[in-house]
Amino acid sequence: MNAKRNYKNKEDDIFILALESSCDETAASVNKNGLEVLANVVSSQVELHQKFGGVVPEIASRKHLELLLPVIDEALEKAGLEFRDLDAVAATYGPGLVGGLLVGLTAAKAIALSLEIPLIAVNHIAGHIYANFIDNPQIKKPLICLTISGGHTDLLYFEDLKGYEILGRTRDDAAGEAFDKIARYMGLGYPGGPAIEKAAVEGDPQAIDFPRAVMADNSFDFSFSGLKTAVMNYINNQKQKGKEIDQADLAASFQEAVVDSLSSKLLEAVKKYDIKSVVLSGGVAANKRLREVVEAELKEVEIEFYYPSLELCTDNAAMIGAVAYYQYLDRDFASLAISADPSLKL
Amino acid sequence: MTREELKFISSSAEQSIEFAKKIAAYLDPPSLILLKGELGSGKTLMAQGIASALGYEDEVTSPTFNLVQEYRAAQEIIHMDLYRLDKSEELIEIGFEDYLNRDAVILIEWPEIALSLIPADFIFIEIIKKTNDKREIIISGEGKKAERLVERLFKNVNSRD
Repeated sequence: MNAKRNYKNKEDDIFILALESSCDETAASVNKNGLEVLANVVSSQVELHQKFGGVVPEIASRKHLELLLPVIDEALEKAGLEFRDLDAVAATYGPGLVGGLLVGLTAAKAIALSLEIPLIAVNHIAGHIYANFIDNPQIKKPLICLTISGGHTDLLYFEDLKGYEILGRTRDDAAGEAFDKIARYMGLGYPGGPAIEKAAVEGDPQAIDFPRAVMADNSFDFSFSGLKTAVMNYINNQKQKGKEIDQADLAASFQEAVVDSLSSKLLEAVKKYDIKSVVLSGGVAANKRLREVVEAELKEVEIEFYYPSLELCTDNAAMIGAVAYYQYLDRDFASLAISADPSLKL
Repeated sequence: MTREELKFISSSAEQSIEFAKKIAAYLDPPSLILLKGELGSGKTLMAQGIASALGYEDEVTSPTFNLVQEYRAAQEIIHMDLYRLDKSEELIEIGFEDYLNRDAVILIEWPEIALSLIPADFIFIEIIKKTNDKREIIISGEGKKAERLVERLFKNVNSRD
């Protein structure tokens, strides 16, 4: 696509502008040499969608369109750089909501074309994994990563972007989706993860014994639909009997069941594979109870454990910029004809 | 972008019905109206008020089990309740997208499951249960047409106060 040029190497300083617009955050960042984040700007639409009880993709794309250019300008200004200082531009090209992805990817294409710099198309899930390295560059590989968000529940063995293996994933709802649905039934609002975590603080996690899915084939796959049905049945039964529901106990017991399902699979995988560390990624990685339980379990088996800071758990562009740097070194550039892929796999 | 939001406090079912009728007066079909609120907050009551103002005089009940009810009046009305649904795929099975293309006033209770399939133009009504009888009804519009409706409704309600 580009004229023959001299790309930079590992020894040089490489500045990458990255864009992320796959769901309800419009974000731009400037990273130096991958993990050094010079600016990380996120303009959230969460509040807008909160009102509806979920993301309205058509409204999200309209908002991305409004917010993206100001967010890019702000990122460059914070980084103290001009467009001409950039070595490459990166954007998330999937998975996510197609309208939002197109806004970010098209903007990145236009920037790449006009500055004659390479375009780097980044997988959103890879971004969530690399968010860990921004906070903790010392993380040793191979590692096991549990990616948990509204759209994903993936357990993977990870060496690098070219060497990984999916050990297990959800067979029905994603963990974050289960949180959202139960929060809705409980009238706690959206997004469900933080809402349930907050409601659970004063609750007894052992108050109600909800089922944990057991996979007949001993796989590392997850399932949350049985748990979800059990919670809904519990709510309906209590209502029919005219009994008060203790929201705190219900939230705590549900959360405990999710945490249990996630952490027990994770620990099984840790015991089976020869790894150096475990990382969490994705929005649900912000759940404190999950972090606590996993941390305690991994201490016993002496495996290092990391999770991203709250700012890097949720969607952001810095994590996309981090992945883009390694793709740059590999000269893994995208053609300007690339299209967004809403159901992109890792 | 200014986003107008109109808040109305209703102290009785009758007042809620009256407010729903005012909303109906400003509709310019086709219209998509989302009704959000917990169980027993009065979503169906708002639907009743709107349907009756549009000329449908028969009984309006919550279509929790049928999912969709159609009312034939001067203006075609489609009333949905998506409480029982679990996945947006199930919406495609009931022909949800075909309903959206009809030249009708579409009322949707428990719309959360359908958010991924709806256009960016709709009227959003949220009902918050304050006490047994008291409700806060918040109405806002997404998209130019719906925003205009809320503005006009806003002027109407405020001028009568």
